[in-house]
Amino acid sequence: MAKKKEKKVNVSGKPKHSLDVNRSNDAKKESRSAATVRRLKMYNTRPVRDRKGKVVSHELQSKELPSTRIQPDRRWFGNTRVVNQKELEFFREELQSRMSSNYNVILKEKKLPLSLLNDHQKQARVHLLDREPFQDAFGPKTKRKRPILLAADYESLLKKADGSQDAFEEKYGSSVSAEANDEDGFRDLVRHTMFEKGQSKRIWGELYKVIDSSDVVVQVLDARDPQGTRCYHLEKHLKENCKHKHMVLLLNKCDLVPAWATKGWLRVLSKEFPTLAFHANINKSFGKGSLLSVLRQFARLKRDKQAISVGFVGYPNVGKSSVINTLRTKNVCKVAPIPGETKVWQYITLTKRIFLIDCPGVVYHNNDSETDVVLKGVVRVTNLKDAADHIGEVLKRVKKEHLERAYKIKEWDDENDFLLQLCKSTGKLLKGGEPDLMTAAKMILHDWQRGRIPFFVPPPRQEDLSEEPNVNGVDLDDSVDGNEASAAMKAIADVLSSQQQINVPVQNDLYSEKELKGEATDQHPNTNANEEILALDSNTSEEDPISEP
Amino acid sequence: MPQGDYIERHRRDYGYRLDHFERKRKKEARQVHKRSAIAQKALGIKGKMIAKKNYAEKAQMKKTLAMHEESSSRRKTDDNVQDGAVPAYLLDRDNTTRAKVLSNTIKQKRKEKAGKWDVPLPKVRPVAEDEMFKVVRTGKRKTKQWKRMVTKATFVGPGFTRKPPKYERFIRPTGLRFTKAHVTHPELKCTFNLELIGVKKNPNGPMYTSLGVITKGTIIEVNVSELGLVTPAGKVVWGKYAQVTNNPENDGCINAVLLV
Repeated sequence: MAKKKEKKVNVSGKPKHSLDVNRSNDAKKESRSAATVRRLKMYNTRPVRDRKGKVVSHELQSKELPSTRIQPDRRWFGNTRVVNQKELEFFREELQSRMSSNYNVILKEKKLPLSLLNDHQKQARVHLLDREPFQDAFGPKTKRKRPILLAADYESLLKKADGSQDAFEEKYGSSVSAEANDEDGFRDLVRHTMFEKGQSKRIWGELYKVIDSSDVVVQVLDARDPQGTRCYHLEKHLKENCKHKHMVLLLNKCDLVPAWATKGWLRVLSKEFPTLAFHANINKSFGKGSLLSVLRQFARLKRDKQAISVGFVGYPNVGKSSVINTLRTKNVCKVAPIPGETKVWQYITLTKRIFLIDCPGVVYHNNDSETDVVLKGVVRVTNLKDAADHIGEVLKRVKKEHLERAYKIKEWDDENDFLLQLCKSTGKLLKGGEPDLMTAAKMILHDWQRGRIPFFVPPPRQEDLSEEPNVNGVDLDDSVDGNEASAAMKAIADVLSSQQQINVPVQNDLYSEKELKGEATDQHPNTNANEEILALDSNTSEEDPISEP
Repeated sequence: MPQGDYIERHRRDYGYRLDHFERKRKKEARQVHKRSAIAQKALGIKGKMIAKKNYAEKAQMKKTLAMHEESSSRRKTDDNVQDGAVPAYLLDRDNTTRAKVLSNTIKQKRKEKAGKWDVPLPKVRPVAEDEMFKVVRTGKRKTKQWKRMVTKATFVGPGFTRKPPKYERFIRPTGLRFTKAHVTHPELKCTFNLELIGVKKNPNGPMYTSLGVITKGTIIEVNVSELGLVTPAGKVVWGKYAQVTNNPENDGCINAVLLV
């Protein structure tokens, strides 16, 4: 698109009004530049109409046909990209050593022959007719009496099928449990559409729009359940299709869990992606400086671009909009302690070179039960019609002393008894003195979502419990490096390692002194069974075990 | 004596008037315009007679000029008659000179050269701007009409990120982005599924080339690593041009012919 220079009617050089294009591009003056004025005038372009309302001309909508002749040229028929054998070997060695790390970046992938470096994937098709054509066994030019088949008779075909079935079952062992469920003769209930929040086509369209517009994707996790609030499908999509985008994990609500649990999760998750702890509060935030430093390093990494965009994605109700409000130190996004407050994507300016994108919460379809969905905070509690059914899981996950302190109830037999006592103590009664179990259950789930009942998933046990900062893939001793990209990534690693050493603040009166020092007692042999269960379910955390330090 | 003789005697004895020759030259120069004015104003039979006379004079003048401009390259050669070896039935045949042979050779070479570097589709159906772009209305009251949605297939490259909404004028939909093309080798008669590297030239204009729009006739750059091409110097070729032969926005895939 050619720039239409406005004709110079103003010969003195001074602009007459704020939208006058004839202005100097002097950097000292703080007035608008010529490019900005052209852009502002572009916003008001509309079709030009005549007296009768007929469109006479509209920019970029003309019906004029262009000339489509391609001139003959010998350069069309030559080679455009050629690589030497020595350079090819050098690229292959360099790429293998650097691509294995998540902290290294290829800045310009277009000029590299990446397909020559990677090996060819195996052929997926079975070339049956290439090996043996049809007329070898049939027709006038037969060469053999019978065609080559997989099996000669029915029994050998059965044996081969059983063998391939056994191999398949060994390879995908997780599907055996699914088949075991089918043998019971039961099918899953058609669940309410309420439990499919965050999985609609519109929400995922918003997510892909945010990913398309982002250079850095920050996945916000809940520090109480980091593995449960991860979106593995999104991480796989970024690794395969958007290699030029960066993923950063952000552990929000770190004031609701003990400090040793936060540090443990930071160590575990930093092996995969850069991970930061965060507490989203406008006045008393934690991790804001670290996150700003990381974002500035990414902006420095992409200095060739005019600005970078950072997208905040994650589960509903993990605090994505609160993080953005904390970074801006202002209420620029609407926030609420209920899931689903953010409905469309929002664009926020952080600095002149960093934009933030808010995204509604997305949930990938997995095998979570309804209780898991409720306890992750995906569903609005006020819309639940059977809230009492989920209290049993809450009583299992939360320790008894926390419930005693929160609700002043000493002893209970089961969840029904607990609800009965809670109804009596809080006065939630229906007509005739009958206890209102639904209201009491909703109260408990509200407290669960907003962090009044302390709960967390402990990090998996580490073999070496040293306090050394664990940032994978970056050689900290390499101080003399002229490459700007590695310098930026090293600065990010320094921010991560320094944050792991900072004392993480925890909310007052939430945990006892014994739990705050629970890392020392983490080596207790009673927790080995729970750790093993957690290790088995680390990929898809369907059920969280009882959290006992 | 007649009066003219007196004038001649006076000129002989006393000389011409001082401005005589100048006036004579000017009068002759004006004769042309005067005769032209007379020819335009003459009516009837007088006009026809004047026109006929002027035509005859002009034709005679052209013949005289053409006679002096005879081409020397086509002149009849009389040297062979001296030898006396020409048979009687060849006496009326002319011998052309070498100049014509050379001119014929040059014309033939130019004709051959024109078709050698032609692409398979030198000219395609043009696409107007109203077909290429669709107006996207934005804003709270849907009155902003400066954004355009590209309705054709596009290629955006591996490092692409959309601009912020305040700066993005051309929106390229995700569903219409392509990364691979079916490229046919015209001599080997086989087809490969190759990755795109870039869009080199869109025949509808350079703006579409910079936007990465792919229409019929577009010249794209493809990754030919799978073909195993090597230059005579021993280097590996991994980039070549191809021309699109179908309409990708209708078919859902890109078919192209490799330019070799």
